Amino acid sequence: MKKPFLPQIGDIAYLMQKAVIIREILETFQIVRVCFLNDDTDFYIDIISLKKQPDYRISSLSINLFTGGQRI
Amino acid sequence: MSRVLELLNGDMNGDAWEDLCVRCYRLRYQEQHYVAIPAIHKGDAGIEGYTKTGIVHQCYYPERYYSDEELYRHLRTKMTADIKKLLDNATRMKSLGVPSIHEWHFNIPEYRDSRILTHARAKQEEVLSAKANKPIACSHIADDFQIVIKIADDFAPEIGCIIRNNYSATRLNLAVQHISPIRWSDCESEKVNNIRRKVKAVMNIEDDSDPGLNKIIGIYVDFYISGVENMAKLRISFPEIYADLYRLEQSYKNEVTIKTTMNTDQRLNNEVFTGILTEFGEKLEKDFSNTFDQASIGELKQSLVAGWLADCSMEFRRKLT
Repeated sequence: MKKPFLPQIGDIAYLMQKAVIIREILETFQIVRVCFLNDDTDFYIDIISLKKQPDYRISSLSINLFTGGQRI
Repeated sequence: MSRVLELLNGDMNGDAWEDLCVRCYRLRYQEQHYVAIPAIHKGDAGIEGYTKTGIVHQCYYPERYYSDEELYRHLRTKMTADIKKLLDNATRMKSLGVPSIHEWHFNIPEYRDSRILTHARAKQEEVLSAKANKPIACSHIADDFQIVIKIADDFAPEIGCIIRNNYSATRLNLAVQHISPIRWSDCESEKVNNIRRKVKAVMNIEDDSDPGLNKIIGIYVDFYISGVENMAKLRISFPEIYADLYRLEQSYKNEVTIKTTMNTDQRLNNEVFTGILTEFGEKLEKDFSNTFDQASIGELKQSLVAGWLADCSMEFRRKLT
């Protein structure tokens, strides 16, 4: 079984390829509050979304680009 | 005040987009004998590939997130430069085996300003005019030449197939930036009450005014709402991926019902819930790490669990009063 990445408050981790600072950890719920570097907006994500290092091998497309033909 | 669902933008670059587009064209135009043109020796003459029926395509992916105006300007600049390359490279095109060009496709993830359509029409007329004035120099251009803008949504079936079958390193991203304050008003009160009841049981808190309790409830309400929206988008645009995810979710939901119902000791609610989160997260990673990026795996985990909290697949023992 893969060992989970368990950051601490104040650590820098990576959400996709972007660095975030850990602000709060809600351990029971496996949710963390983070913010991007140079950005004051805090937001919540699941802890498995984070990695120790960015993974530049993987690229991703936002599902927001796909409207199923329902263009406005 | 309602908040817009803020999706974290995916991580894509020009090379990965080009690779994805070439794969999409190979799938879609297999019968038209699609040929990809690597840009290694002497460049690719401004096109990524062509079909024997006279379709060529060029790709562009923005370097970063642009405003609507910025995006339009970048798209316009790129289209202008590439149409010039198209006109200037007749000899190179022919040497690559490109037939008479009927359609020039501009592959972009999206456009938000309709002026790019106007610009495309203007460039199309420019090409046809050049053809009329210099027929020999533009012999590689067909008389019915058109510029066609193709966006990611136009290739949803091919992209879904490529991602689902792990043909490339591209994943889907549906991660949401869950920012407080929470969108309580977007969620039915019955669902909120269900979430509240269960989170209280997990946290072993009875006081409804507890700020920690209400924070967690708000977070799960937000995950619930984003989960409903994301699953709807998946179902419409990527039905096979949606079906795979739905099957896993339904089968694990049954396990969740059993695990929570069989726990008779309310002191263990916390442990049972954490165990469910961990196990479900591992299942999602095992089955979908080639489909979704890591941030989206985390998003799916919490939003589907939020659905179980809201829809009564999970019930925890409470203290008897």
